[in-house]
Amino acid sequence: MFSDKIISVYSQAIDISFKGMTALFLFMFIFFILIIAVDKFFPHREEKK
Amino acid sequence: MEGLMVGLTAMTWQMFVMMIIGGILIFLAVKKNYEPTLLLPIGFGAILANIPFSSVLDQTEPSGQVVEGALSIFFRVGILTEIFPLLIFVAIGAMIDFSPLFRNPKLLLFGAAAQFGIFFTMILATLLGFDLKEAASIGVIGSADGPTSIYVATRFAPNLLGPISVAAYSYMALVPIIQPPIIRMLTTKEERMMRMDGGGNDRKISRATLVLFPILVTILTGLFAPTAVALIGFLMFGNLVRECGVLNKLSLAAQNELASLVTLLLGITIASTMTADKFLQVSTLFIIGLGLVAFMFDTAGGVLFAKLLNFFLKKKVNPMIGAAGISAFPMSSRVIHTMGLKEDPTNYLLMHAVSANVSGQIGSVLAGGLILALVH
Repeated sequence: MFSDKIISVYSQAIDISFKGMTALFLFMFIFFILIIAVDKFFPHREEKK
Repeated sequence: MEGLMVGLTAMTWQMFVMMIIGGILIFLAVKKNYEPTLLLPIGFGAILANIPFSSVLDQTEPSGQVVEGALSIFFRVGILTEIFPLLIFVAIGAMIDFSPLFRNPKLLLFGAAAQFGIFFTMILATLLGFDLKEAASIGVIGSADGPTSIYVATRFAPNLLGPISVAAYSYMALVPIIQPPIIRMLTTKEERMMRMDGGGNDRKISRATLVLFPILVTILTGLFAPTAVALIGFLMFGNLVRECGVLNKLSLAAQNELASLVTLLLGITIASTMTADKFLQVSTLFIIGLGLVAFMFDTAGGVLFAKLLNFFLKKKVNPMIGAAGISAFPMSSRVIHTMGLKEDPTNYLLMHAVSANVSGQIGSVLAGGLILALVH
């Protein structure tokens, strides 16, 4: 039904999608850690008047 | 007299159809208020670009000399160099307030899950015969982020820029129509009524955190995916201008004047690619259809991920919040909030939805950058 060329591009797309989604979650997880860490090291303090 | 008839005699039915399409876009912008800042310039630009021998586009004279047109010049200077979309990122960055996200950082993960539609659509597009770069550009419509779609399409498929931009901005305006049926289909009434605790909604965030976040995100992203630096860097630069507290005038200028002016130029310039010979093709119909698929699967990805996450969480998340992980801000969070209120008039989900929606803005730009890094 699909030509060899389409199947080859399709396989590449699946591979990229897997890597892309994994990297996306990984980045978001890193940002999650980053927020927790920065917020812990620099908590909000009321400014002195 | 003959000279005055040149335009009229050169008019084709395809050009006429494109003018009608331009008129429809203007109608949607003016009458329905669908993304008017973009659809109106695109609609008018489509009319301009389809007038025979239009002087807004480059024209070759009988002597062989090329007379440059204003929109063609804008296209080369603003789009092909990627300057217009990047300036829009500065403006968007200046508009984003990340503090709701800092109060509930686990919602960052929804910004990743709700990009699922991008990759699903890319795979689907390859089966329809698009090459990998074209398929990736079409998939990025699912970022629900116009400038990211334009940025990636400029790099990978400039020939498809017109239909991709129209699809991206049209579906962003249609988020309140696209998302609710998908969410209802994937959730039970009990799930939609689920309450979430405050999550420290009134907790204050230090300025140091707000200033450091855009800088650190840019460095971290750059170290792992250098191709994404322009996208994420300009977004975060805009945010830094907002949060530093000493550039209020610049921040306001970026949010208002810069955003308005560049959006105007971006819209009308994109329309210069919407000439009948390029736009009236079967591929345009595929792109419009695939764009809708991308938005639907983004929504589904977010909702299903929230349901999955609930297996592991003590404090459960209302699965509808997952759907707000797309970049369409603030439409998506408003949709979720309204749906929550419909099920239970005392259930306020807005702040949680906003947090997920803000994470979607990071996620969409990151997804665009990753596509640029992974597709060769």
